[in-house]
Amino acid sequence: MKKTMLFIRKYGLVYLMILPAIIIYSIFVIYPMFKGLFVSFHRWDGLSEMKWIGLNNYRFVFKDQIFWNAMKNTLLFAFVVSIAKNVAAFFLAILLNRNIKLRTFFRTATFLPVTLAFVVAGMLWSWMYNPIFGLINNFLKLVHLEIFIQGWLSDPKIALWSIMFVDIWKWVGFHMVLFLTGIQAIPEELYEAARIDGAGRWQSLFHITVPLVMQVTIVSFLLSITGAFVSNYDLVYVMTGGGPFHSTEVALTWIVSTTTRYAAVGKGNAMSMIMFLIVLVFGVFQMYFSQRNTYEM
Amino acid sequence: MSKKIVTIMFIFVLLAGLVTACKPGATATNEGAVEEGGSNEGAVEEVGTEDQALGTGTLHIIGSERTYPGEADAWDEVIADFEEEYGVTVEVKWQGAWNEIPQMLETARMAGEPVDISSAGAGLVNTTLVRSGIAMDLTEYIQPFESRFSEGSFLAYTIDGKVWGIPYGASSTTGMLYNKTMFDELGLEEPTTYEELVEVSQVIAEEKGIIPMIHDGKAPWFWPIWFFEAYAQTTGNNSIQSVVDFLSGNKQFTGPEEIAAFEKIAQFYEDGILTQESLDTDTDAKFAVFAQEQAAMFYAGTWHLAPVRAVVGDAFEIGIFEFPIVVEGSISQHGGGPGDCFIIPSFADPANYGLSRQFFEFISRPENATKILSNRDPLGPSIAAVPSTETEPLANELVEEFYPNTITFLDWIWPVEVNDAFVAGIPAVLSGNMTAEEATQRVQDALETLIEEKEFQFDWWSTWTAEDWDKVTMKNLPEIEVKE
Repeated sequence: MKKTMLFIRKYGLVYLMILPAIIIYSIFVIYPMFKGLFVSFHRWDGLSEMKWIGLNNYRFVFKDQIFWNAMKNTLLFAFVVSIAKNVAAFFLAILLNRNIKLRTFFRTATFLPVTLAFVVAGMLWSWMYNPIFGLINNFLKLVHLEIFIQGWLSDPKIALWSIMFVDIWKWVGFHMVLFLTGIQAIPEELYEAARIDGAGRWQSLFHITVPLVMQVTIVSFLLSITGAFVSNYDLVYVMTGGGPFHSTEVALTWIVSTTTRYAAVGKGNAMSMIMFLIVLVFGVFQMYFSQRNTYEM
Repeated sequence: MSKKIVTIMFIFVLLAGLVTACKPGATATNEGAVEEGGSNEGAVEEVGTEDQALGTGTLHIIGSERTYPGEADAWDEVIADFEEEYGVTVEVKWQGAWNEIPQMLETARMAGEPVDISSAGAGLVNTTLVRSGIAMDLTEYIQPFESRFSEGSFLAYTIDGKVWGIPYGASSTTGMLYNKTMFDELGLEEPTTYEELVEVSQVIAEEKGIIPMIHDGKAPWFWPIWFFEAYAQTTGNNSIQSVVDFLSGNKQFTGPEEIAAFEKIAQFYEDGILTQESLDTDTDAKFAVFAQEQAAMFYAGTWHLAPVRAVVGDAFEIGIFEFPIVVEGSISQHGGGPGDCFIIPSFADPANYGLSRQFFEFISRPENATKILSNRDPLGPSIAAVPSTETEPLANELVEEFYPNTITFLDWIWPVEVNDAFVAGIPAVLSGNMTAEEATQRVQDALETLIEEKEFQFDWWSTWTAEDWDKVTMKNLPEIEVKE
């Protein structure tokens, strides 16, 4: 009893203060998750009565080739854009950290796409990619490089890559700012000492800059990969709607189609649960490696 | 200590606000105030006892966003007149797209939000809403005002002899719009056969160096319409029965007629009538390409006429011809019908059946229907007394030549999962990424998956129990006033 009172006296106020957040989180995150799990065991069109079908929805999902193709696209999307964004952002940050002319302009221009909504960015690039009016194909025609003219969003072999490029373009400015902060925090004396010791630019880059921005790199990569897993819906939906013939389908677009368009709410929830587990595995790995790295630093 | 008290009070206020906001039955009125327990209960006693037809005194309507210029204002005006004439209140929410109606209905039902009338599309009614038991049987309900509707209007909403939707809009059809000025300049005639279309396309491509025909291939739902036309001809103008047989399990979709239909469409691409640009063009871009004379033809629905005329202006004259004959001995049949309607949800308050019935009587009166529907510049209005468009130069040709050959869109018969197999299959076959055989197999697979996963049954009505029918059958329908 005394222990309990002590605990309440020590932590009571803390728990009371976080109570509203816990309630809101429970209502809008925890409860829907469990409800989703419950629904995933039912056949339900969202309109008529739910019917218990056990694990059948999971069996249906395992047989759904479009879903697994969409999962493959999701993973490809997440890894390609995360790596490309961070590599490009790192080198842009190095470039725009130097005293070059119009530096502020370039920094602003690089960051500007971050401020655009996904829908706006998607629409903008859809027009750029347009085979008739689009800037890209018309430019290629102008410089007599017709050989490179493509159906950027209609060719199933390159449509997903076209969308990934837009995502990279949109977010590279954000990651550049993160890297810029990290690079600017490195003491200039370290580079001077390296120069005195005869180190070249590349040696300085790999032996000073890269190790000292590792913390930033981890944060930046974590942010980008988490975002790429769960926020690719808008861009794909606006630019291709998952087409042509499901070649740009990502897990989220297919889950939404299954749940709303096909009114297979139970199956859609089963897909969400499977995706949650897959992302959870990646999340645990990320946390493990980031913590290990943090302690080593 | 005082800090603790202030914090506790603050948290208490926050929680109280949260609990109040989440309390069931709290409804926001138009003025933004919050009323508890639902605002209709008082009205039941006051109005319901006086006149049963007027129900709770408040009619709740939900529907997709009104898209025609001036239509929302016309609705407001007619609704205000209805409110004044019958001393009731009408609460209307026009929001979202037509295909979001099932989600809107479900959300309303789960939230306990009253809905007496909902807008819907013919495809949704026939393939989703009725078989889900969410729409009421309106066969008896429509009798007082049924005669005001154009002949055959209810056919698109009739399943097994029962009416499930009230058409309110215009009937559509489809055809090939073309740049008549350019055709005249090149000395080209309207093609009637596929071979003639190929010749015309070659002349256009050679003489003008432009795309003969553009299609909005990025609007996925528009691809299957090509199949409706081709399939009508490959089945010897028996496509609807063929689809019914397929959905009923009496035939496979992998037969020669189905394969031939896919191949006929692919031929358009192989012969250069359609080009790769069509795979990556949306509807706005299609209009722009046509208006800028970078393409001479496009396949269109009558709903495309007004927007395309808006962008073309007086730049050139527009003509229309029927989908060419791709199978000798058949006739060209086009998809169409009255696509917009209203339904009564099965969770609507029965006390309001009379009120909603009176509302339909009111909006189907010629003067009110004209106010609303004239904004669509309709070709075949669903209310017979509403005048057809006087501004569309192609109106007569469409009414006299196209409408007689118009059959129900096949995607108003087959479910969306099957339709999407066409959406993916047609451009894939066109661009050589799939064979016609593979595409038909995908359609067959889509139906089989549907049967396995959703226990799909085409003739659902044959297995409904008395309890199922009871949920969608209106009892003791109140009489209403019918003004001639």
